[in-house]
Amino acid sequence: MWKNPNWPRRLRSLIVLVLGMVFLGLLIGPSYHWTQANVTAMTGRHDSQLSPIIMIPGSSASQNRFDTLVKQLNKADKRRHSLIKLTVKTDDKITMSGSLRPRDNEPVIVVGFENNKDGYDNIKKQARWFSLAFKQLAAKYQFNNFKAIGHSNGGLIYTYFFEHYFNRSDITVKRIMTIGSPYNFSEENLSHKTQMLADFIKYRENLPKNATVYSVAGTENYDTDGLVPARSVEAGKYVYQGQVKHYTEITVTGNNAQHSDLPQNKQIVALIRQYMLNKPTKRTRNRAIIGANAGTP
Amino acid sequence: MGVSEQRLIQRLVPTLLRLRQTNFYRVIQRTLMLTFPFILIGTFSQIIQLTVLTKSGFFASVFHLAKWVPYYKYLHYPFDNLTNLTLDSVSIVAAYGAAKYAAKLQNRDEQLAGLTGAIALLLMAYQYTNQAQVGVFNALMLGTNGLTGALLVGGVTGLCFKWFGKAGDEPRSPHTAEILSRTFGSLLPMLITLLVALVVSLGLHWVVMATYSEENWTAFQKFATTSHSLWLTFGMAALTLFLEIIGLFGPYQQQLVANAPAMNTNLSYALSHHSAYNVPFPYTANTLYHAFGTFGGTGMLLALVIAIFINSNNHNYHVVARWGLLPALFNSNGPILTGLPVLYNPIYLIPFMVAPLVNMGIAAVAVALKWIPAVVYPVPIGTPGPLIAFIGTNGNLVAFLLGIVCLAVSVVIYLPFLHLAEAIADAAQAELAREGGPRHVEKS
Repeated sequence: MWKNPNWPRRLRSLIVLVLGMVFLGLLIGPSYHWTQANVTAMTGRHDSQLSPIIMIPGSSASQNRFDTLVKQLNKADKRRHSLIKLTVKTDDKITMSGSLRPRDNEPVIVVGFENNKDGYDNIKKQARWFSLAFKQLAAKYQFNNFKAIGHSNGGLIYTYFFEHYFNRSDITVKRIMTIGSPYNFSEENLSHKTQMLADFIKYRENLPKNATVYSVAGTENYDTDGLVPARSVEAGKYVYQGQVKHYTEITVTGNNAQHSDLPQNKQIVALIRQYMLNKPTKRTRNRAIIGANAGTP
Repeated sequence: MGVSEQRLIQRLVPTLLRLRQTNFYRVIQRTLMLTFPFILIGTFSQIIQLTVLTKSGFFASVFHLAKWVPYYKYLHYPFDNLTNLTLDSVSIVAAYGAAKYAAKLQNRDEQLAGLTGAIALLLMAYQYTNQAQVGVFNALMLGTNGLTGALLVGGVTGLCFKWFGKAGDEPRSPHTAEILSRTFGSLLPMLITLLVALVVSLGLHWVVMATYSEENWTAFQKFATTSHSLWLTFGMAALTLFLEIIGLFGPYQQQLVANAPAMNTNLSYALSHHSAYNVPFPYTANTLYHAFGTFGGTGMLLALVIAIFINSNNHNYHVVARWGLLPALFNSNGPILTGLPVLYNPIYLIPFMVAPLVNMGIAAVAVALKWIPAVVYPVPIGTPGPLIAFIGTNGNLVAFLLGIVCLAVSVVIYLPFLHLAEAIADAAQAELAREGGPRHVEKS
């Protein structure tokens, strides 16, 4: 300002500055497209009324495991929930069958695994496979909340998934139900924690804080459903209690309270209707009025 | 400006020149110079890593790189490595440099002093665990955030060498015997430095264990990033800026986590109402500080770079600014902070703090008058400063123009201080020329 500037040097710098500004200018267009597309996608998910029930079967069971359950639900509910089935192969490939009926906001989605064996190592693998399937589902169906049901090991896979893979801020899990899930495997004594239970407890802080969790146990006699000890199901409280919004334990006895019969047990079907499904009346009556906010409190 | 500004500068120059010539300040300046190339390399690597090779990075998002670049998942590993080993170990270099220059001023063995300083810092950053684990150094103390601590460690090391070591010039003809005696002369200060470092390390460890300082810090940071009162937001921003220029990190320094409740509430409100006007919390760190106060990183240093380009006569400034432009475009201020230097520089303290706060004020007024919607939509990591508000408002043109206005205002704020810095650099040069035959030409 008060000295003679060194023009050649300043010119070089000004060229650099102009180049920088041109570079920035070229980015305006792409930025605009990105943010528009991003906000549209987010709005789509936010406005979505879809709230699927995603189920994971136990070990040695396939994606067809819940067919009877869904039939019973539809019959009792007088609604037809679409049934969509996914199988994740051991090479991470995913096959899908079934489709979403129009105007069905509460489809049942079952995720099975080609490798459906028991054991903690397999559960870890299955949790990862489930995370792949979940990602695909989230991209395809654009839901912003879902309900989780896991039978037997399916509940363990869900627990591992919630602790290690589920970190989406745009999707919430509203309710979780585990049915006869052996949190301590076949160990009856709660002072003997299996590696899996210890790990579940270690990472419990990652569990979704706003979910309501139901752990359903079946018993044929006073301490087992014939396969899983009631104490092992009960161990779920060390994982979930105090960490999620509500944790409720339910024990079902009587007919069909054997481990493998649990998903068809009338009592449990009623529990699922009562606790897991969205209330139909509210939806049908207000369908036209409720706008973007359905599903979020 | 004009005459009165010049007069003011003439008045301030002698005082600031004296400060600049103290040993204390010399050591700091030369140490920062030593760290500059590491920071420059690290910053470029970090920019590539964050904007191109991170899925949520700016270029990766805007051009959907993850979808079509082969082996995209694996490309970030080498850059992670390079970034970590340059930026996250800069403090070791600083401890080395500070100890070395401090010892040199006292005519002590500079090499040993430097190495001792570096090792002393590592001793302090070591984390005691009861399990055999790898990677047990406290990254906070070794990275750019630990710069001030490192300078202190280096300075104290230099003092130890001054008090306990023997003076002696470097032997002209390096005979083994002389080198040996010189080495033994440094043994006592080395030992004392390392013992002090050990004691400090244990003390630090005890303090951390006793007070859960890390948890407190996280809680504080959480408090800072979730605050949504206007005054709190400005206060926190001022605190951040001050801590940054004295080489410490502030509550807003860490990249804001995406799930701060106020931010989520804003976003979900905007999505429900298909508009970002009238959101419940319009004055948060995210809507004001990050969107309008951090062009070129903390302190709006992009404005300083532009100020140098259009109105500086100092050759060194131009060189540093040219190298620093690209990082500054992506909000990385390391090269400018250490290259000019801005860190620990009382001249830049005022604009460094005032420019971002003024911009936040402009933005707050604009939001209050509904000229622009609040910045609520997600913005990719490493988005160039002037584009943050544009993207965060879903492409609002007024927000973009306001960003440009903010940048221009900041340039104007920085200009007089740049002139002052130049005047001092010139005066230092002139003084050296008067004394004749300078031992070392000081870097300016």
